[in-house]
Amino acid sequence: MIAYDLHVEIDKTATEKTIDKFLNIAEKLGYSGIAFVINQMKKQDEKEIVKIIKNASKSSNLEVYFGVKARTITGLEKLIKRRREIDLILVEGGNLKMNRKAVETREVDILSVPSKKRYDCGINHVTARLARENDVAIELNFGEFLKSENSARIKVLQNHMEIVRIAKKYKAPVILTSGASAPWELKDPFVLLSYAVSIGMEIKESKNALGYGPKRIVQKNRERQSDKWIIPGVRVV
Amino acid sequence: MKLKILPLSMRRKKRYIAFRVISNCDISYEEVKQKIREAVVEIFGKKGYADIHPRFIDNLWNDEKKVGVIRCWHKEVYRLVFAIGSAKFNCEAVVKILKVSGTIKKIKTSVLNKL
Repeated sequence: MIAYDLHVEIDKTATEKTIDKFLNIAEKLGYSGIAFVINQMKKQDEKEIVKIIKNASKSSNLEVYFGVKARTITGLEKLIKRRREIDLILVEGGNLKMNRKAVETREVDILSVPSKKRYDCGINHVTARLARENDVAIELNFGEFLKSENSARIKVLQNHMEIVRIAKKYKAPVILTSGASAPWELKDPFVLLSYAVSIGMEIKESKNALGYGPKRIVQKNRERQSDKWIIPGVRVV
Repeated sequence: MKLKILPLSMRRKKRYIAFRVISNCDISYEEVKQKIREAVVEIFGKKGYADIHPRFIDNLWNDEKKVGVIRCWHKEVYRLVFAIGSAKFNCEAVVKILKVSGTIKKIKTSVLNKL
């Protein structure tokens, strides 16, 4: 089974050892690729982290990617300007304006946790349709479920179910991620698939959300990073 | 008096799930069983536990490799795997699902004998 985890969170303090551990466990669990995501920070810090990731990934057989998560609209606009340098652009949702901006922007790859700290799921028919048109994947973060407790956990489940229902109707792309912030928080791909099936996705859809969907995002970005690419739909032949 | 065994057509279909606990520390079988049971009850409740019908196959636990087998009704595999994945252990650990099969024999030949 092809499986990618496009949301593994790391921060400034991450060392080569921790990234090595992440890669080691991901390899044991049977992943094909993994993406390390950091919050937006200074360029210099970002470069150092990219260096560490590249060094650590030399010894691994996994495909390793690097993503940056935008938390504000101004931050997102800054990221879009240097789209080619970054493998993945994620947007942290939760705020309705942020959710809307993310699905309206073609350069964004993933809308992460659209229902964060919300009573509703943060997605409606308009945003779902926009997500499909602009090819922005909506993320179902398993870590969000695991890290919550009691009534908050129920709310997370309800929101995820609603996202699945709306995304199904409007054919918006959905991806499954572990949202791990420590190596032992990574989950087996079959567990993520089971989670998706339990909250209302079909088996085929959940396999897509775990394998082919993320793979397509990664391939699209690789094309974008090549010298022949100019803007979406235009490239040098 | 002993209860007569159900005819084949009346018996429910089962699935056997082989799993491995990958961890830094030494986790006992009792802890693994307890944590998985707790996770099933926490997520699906007691009614859900009865529906899923999880049963540990005690004699197939490999203490050295930390590999075990759990049984459930065949339509509840996804719910059980979801619960296994969300079990929280006392130390750092991840559960990897090795194989899902309809018979113990197949689990033995494809997983347990190759360890």
